[in-house]
Amino acid sequence: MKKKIVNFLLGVYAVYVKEMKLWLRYPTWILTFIAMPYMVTGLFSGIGYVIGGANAIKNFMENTGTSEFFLFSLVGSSLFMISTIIMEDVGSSIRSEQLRGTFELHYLTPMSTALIWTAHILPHGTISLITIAGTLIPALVFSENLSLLGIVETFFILILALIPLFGISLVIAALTVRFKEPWAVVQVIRAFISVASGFFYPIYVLPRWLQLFSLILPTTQAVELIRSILVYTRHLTLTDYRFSLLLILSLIYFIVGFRVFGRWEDYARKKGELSKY
Amino acid sequence: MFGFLGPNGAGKTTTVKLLTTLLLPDEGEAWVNGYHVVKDAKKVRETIGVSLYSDRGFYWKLTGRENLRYYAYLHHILPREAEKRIEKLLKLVELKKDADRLVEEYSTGMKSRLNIARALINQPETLFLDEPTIGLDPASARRIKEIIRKFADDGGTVFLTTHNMEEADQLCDRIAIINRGRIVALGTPGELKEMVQGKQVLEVEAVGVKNGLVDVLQKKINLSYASVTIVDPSSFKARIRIGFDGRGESALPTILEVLVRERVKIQHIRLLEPSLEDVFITLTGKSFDEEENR
Repeated sequence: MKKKIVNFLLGVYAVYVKEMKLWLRYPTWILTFIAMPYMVTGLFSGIGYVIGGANAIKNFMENTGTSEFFLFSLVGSSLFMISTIIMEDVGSSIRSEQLRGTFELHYLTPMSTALIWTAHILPHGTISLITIAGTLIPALVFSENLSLLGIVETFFILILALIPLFGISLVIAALTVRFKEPWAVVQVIRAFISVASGFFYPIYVLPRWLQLFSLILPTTQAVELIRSILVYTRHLTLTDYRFSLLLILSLIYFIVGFRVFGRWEDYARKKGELSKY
Repeated sequence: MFGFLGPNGAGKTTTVKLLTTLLLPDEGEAWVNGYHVVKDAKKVRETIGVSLYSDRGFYWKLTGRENLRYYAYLHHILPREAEKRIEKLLKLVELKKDADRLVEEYSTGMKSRLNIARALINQPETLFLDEPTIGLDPASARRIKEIIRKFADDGGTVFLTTHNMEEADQLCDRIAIINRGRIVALGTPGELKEMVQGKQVLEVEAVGVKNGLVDVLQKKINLSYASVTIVDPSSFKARIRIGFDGRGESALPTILEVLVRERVKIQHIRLLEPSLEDVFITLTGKSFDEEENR
């Protein structure tokens, strides 16, 4: 048992170090990831002012219960960035592993490949934490909403939200193993999640049917919870239905993703797809 | 050292992938190092080393050492032991001074050596090598062969696929010749070459070789076999390999006469001892190149 745990940790460590080295050898992405939510927020505030005019902030407050438009939008756009990165990254990582010829080499090691791909949650989680901290801490200082407990709670929700996102990314990865270039489908999935998750507006502005759909998206729960902590300065309570829902969705999405990927992997091993690129 | 010799598309790589657990078989069973390739796949992977490509299979933005370390950990080798093995392997494949350079800066020969080091990181009992010298310059190919030979001399088993007959002849203790997914001959290089003992081979390099030349030759002379390999389709440059039962010199004037009459420009002509290629032609009626282009 001890040997199994050591072997597992070695594998996780290997993936973590490898991925972080690959990310950190080209650190300019940090600037892009941190700057992008500010740019998106600037874009929306411009559009909002054109539509709402002098009453824009008043209208926003009536619809959202807060005048902190800037923080509201930054939380949404940061999570939008992170969900995009996580959902696409496993698929695109696998694609580049296929092209480099490293993908099938993982299947020659005694380490479980499901665990190898799952272990990518950790480096991606680190990138997400860096992104959200770099984006939101300056804005929180500015809005005087900064609290240590709030940051800790946000990180906790973020890590929890990464699990179902990783489940979705495993499905995308399965599509990549099977179809090699599944980006058209991925873009549709991503766009749909972006519209329905309320990254940039409260979900009640959506049509009723879409609101129901958005409830089963982990991104909706994550964005609502993190906004509640950072924008509305409410502390996380374990009895909050959104928290329970996020926990359940994390489990469901991850199990579904894991199983879908496992099935495609078996198919790929039967049909010789592992080495095709 | 066991060689799996056959033309491209014969099924060599598929066999390697089945034996190394990368492919699941539709039917049949196989064991490697005493372990079933489907039921004990993990055990098989623990005891084998595999090199599938000569210059692919690396993270280009990591150094050679970092690449080896990554695979060492995935093979459950603890850090201290991993470092020792990496040092030893880097020395073996002569990459010690380049170990901390990014793989993207490596030459093809260096990548192939690193590939062999990666395959040896878990100290395998059996090493599977799929065309390990393909695309390499002679010096790099020679170095790879030396490393493979050393692994075999130290008691390791090597399963080598190649379509290079000289390489198979030179390196392997036993050879299986495979064609269209079936083993057509199995034995030591000596045993296989006994199948063409007493034969002599005439090789002609010529320009302007047209279809049907073999038929014309066969009508005129009693040939054991003949094959034509097009070397350059634009000029119809080809290599004609003719096997005789007995001495070939006596047939030479007739062959030359036919070639001149067929307006073939002869560039080079030589008498050879039969090789594994002749074994393959005798068994299948075609040369490697003809089989690949069928």
